[in-house]
Amino acid sequence: MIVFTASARDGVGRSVTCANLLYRSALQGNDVCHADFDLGGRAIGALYGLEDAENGTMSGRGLHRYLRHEAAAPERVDVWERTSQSALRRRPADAGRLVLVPGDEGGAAFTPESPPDPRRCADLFRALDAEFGLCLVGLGSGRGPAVESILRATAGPEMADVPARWLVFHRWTPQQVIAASALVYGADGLLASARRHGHDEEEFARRLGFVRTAVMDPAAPAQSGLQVKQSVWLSHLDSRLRTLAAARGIRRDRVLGSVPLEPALHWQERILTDDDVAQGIAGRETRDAFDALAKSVGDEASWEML
Amino acid sequence: MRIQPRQHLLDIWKATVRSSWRDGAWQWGGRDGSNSISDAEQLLCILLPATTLRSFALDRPDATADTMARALAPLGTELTIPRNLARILADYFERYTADGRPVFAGGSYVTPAQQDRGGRGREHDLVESFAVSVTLSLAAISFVRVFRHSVARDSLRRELRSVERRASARLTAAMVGLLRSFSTHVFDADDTPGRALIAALDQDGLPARRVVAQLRAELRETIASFAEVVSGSGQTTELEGDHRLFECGWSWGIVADAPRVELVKAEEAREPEDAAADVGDFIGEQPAGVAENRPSLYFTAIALDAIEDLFSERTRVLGLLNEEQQRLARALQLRWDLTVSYWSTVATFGGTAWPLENVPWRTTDGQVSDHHTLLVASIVVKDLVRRRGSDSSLAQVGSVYDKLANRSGVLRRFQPEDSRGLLHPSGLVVPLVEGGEHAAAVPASWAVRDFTTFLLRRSVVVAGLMYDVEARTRLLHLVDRLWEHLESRRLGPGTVIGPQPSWYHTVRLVQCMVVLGELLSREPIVNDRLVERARDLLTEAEQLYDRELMVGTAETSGAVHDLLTGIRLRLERARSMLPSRPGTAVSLVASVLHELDSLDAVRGDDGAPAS
Repeated sequence: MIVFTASARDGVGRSVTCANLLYRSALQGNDVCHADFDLGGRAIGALYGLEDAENGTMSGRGLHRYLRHEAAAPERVDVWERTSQSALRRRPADAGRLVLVPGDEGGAAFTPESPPDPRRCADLFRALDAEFGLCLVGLGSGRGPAVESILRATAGPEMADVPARWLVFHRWTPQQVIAASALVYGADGLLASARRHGHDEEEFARRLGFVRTAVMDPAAPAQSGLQVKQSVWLSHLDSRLRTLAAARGIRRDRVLGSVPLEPALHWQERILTDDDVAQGIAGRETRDAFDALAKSVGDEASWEML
Repeated sequence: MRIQPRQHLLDIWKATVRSSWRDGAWQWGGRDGSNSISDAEQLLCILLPATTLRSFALDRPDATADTMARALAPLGTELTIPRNLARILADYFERYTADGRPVFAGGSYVTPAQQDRGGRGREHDLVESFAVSVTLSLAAISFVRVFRHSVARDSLRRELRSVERRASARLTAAMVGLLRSFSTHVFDADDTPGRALIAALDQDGLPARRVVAQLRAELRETIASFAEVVSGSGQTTELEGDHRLFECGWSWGIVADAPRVELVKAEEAREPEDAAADVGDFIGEQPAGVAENRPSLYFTAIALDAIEDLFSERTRVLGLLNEEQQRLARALQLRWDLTVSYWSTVATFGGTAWPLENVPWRTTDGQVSDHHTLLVASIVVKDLVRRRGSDSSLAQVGSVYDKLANRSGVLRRFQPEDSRGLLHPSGLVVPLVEGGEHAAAVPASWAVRDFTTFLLRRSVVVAGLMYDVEARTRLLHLVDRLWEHLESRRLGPGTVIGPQPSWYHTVRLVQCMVVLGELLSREPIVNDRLVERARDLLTEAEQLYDRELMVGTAETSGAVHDLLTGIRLRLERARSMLPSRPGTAVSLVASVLHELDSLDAVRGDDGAPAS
C-alpha cells in the first residue's frame, strides 16, 4: 500500500505522526518505508535518530538526484541499524523492516519548471509498493509543486495497478479543519487537481482520508490539569468542531485516526517507544493511538466509505 | 429527581445489546418468547431513545456521542452501529411479513382460549401490535432517512432505502389495522351497559333520564361528528334517539365485519423499489375481522398513544408520512378526537367532583378495576393537553394518580407476603372476545402487567404540563417513589428468576425514561415573582457598579480592574438570564452586590484622618 501524506500547513505534526505510525506498523510485523518527498523541507532523518542523514543523505544518491536522473536508484537507510536512538536499536525479532528513503542534503525543492520525471516517480512507487507492506510518501505542506508532480505521476497508466491513497493531516481546531477541507475540496484543492490530471474524482475521494493530530480530549488523563470550566468549554467546542468538520466534508468515515496532544512530542519530535511510556515521558494513550492508526491505515477496510 | 434517566437508559442499552447481540447476530425474544410485539419492543429499547432524545442519537455518525457508541460497543462503532441496526430492522420487517402482508399477531403474548388447541387466537392481528408498529415504523423511517445522508456507498444506500420502504408498508398496514379496529358500541340507556354507564357517571340522586339527557347534550358535537366516520370500522347511524347511549374507542383487534379500507395507490406501489411507494405502499390482502364490536379501555388507550405519534411535531417536521398515510392519519385523527372527547366528557361529567375520582372505574361490561381508572385518566389528560386545560384540572388528575399509587400498595415497602396481587404483579386481564357466532365461550386473553410503569409515565407527562411549581413538585415526588418501587423489583445481576429479559417491561421503562428525559431537558419553569425580584436587584447592582466606575476605582490596580471586569461580565450574564432563569440571575447579582459592597465597606470610618 502506498500512501501520500499531506497537510495544509506546517507544524501540523505530519512527519512525526508518520514516523511513529511506521514504527508501530513495523513492530506489528510489517515491512514499512518512509519516502521523503518533502524535498528541501524538514529534517526527517533526525526524527529517526539518523545522525548522518538528519537533513537528507550526503551520499549523492538521495531522492532528488534519483528523480533528476542523477542517480540510478535512491538510497535506502535501515533505521533499526543506523539509528542512534538506543531504544530504537533493539529491533524485536518479529518486527518488520523500517526503511527511510531520504532526500539529498542541500537538494532544492521541485519547481513547476523542473518537475520530477513522472515515469521515474512511477517506477519508484511501484518498486516501493512491491517491496513494502506500507509506504508513506511525505509531501511538503500545502499544494506545492511536489503535490502537482505526484498527482500527474499517479494518473498515468504506469500506476494503474498501484492505487494511490492520500492522508491529509490536520490539528483539531476550527482553523485547521477549514484549511484541511480547503486543501482537499477547495476550488484549487487536491480533488480538483486530481481531476485535471485525469484521475477519477470519486475514486480519488474514496482513497483519501484524514488524520487528526494534537487532539485535546477533556476526558484523557493527560488533560487532568485542566480546570473544570476549561474542560466543559473544551467538550462543548469539540462537539461544535465535529459538526464543522462534517459540514466541510471531513466526515467520520473519512477519519483514519486521531492522535492526542502529546507534550513529549511538542518538545521533541521523535519516535515514542514503549520505554518512553514506561518511564512516564509519554502518554500511554498516545502510544496506543499510534498503534491503532498503524493498524487502521494498513487495513483497506478502514478506508472504506460508509 | 432521584431518577437519572440518562444513566438508566445507558444501562438498559448495555444490557439489551449484551443479551440480544450474540456472535454478530441479533437474537429475538425474551422471557415471553418472540412475537411481532415483543420483537418490536426489543428493538425500541435501543431505537426509541436514539430517535427521540438528541443526546442518544445514532443516525449521524459525525455527531454520535462517544458515550453512546461505547454503550453499544458490541454492535460496532459509531459508523457500523447504525448499519447493523438497519439490518436488524430489515430482519424484523421480514419476519413479520407473510405473502407480502405485514402481520400483527400477538403470538406468545396472548393466553389462548381453553378450547383453542390450534392456537388460532395467537394469530389474530392485535391493536397492541398495530400500535407498537406505528411507533417502530416511524422511528425506523426517520432513523434510516437521516442516516442515509451520511452514506455514500450505493449498495448501503439501496439497503437503507429498502428498509424505509418496508417500514413504510408496515406503517400503512398498521394504520389500516387501526382504522378497522375502531369501534362504536351503541346501546340503550335501559340496557345493561347503559345502566352501568349511568352508574359510573356517579350522579347520586339525579334521575337516570336527566343524566342521559345531560350526557347527550354534552356529547352533542361528538355525536354530530360521527357522520364524518366514513371509512373503516365504527361507522354508525344509530346515535339518534333520546335513549341512545354509546361508547367509542378501540377493540382488541380488527372488528368483525369491518369493511376493507380503500388504498388508492396500493397496486401501483407493488414493488418495494418502485418510486410510486412515495405515494402509497403495497400491504397485501386485508384480513377479515374477528374482534367483538366493543371498545376496550386498555386497547383504546394504547391506540390513542400510537395515533399521537402520527401527528406529532417530529413526524410532521421530518415529513415521515407519504400521501396515502397522511390520508389515513386524518381519518385516525378524527377517531382520536371523537374518542378523547367522549371519554373526557364521561370522566369529568357533572362539574367539580369527577366520576374519574371515584376509584375504581366501572366499565360497561361490569369490570371494576383501578387499572381502568388509570387508563381513563390518561385519556382525560390528552383532552386537557388539547384544550390547554388549567393547572387545577391537571392537579385533579395528579391527585387521582396519587390515590391510585397509594391504593395499589406500590408505595409501601415490598413485603414478600404482599397479597395485593390483583393489580400487581399479575395485573389486569383483558378478554379478547370475538364477534359473530363462532366466538369461543372462554376467549383468549391479554394480560396487562404494566400498572406501575404506566402510572409513572403518565405522572411524568402531567408534571411536564404543569406550571404550578408546587403541584408539579408533588407529582415528581410521586414519580420518584414509583421509581423506587420499580428499582426494588429490577432484575439485578444476581437474580435467580432466570437470565431472560422481559422486553414488555423493559420497553415500558424506556418509555418512562424517554418522557422524563424530554422533561428534564427543558428549561425550568419561570416564576414571575422571582423575575420581579431579580430585576430589582439587578437595577441596584448596575447602579452601584456604574458608581464605582465613575469614581475611578478601576484605575486603582490591575487586580481591581480585573475584579470589576468580572463583575461586569456577571451583570451582563444576569441580564440575559433574567427572563428564563431568574433564580440564576438573582444569585449572580447577589454575588456582585456582595463584592461591590466589600469594596465600599473598607472606605468606611476606620479612624484615619478624613482630610
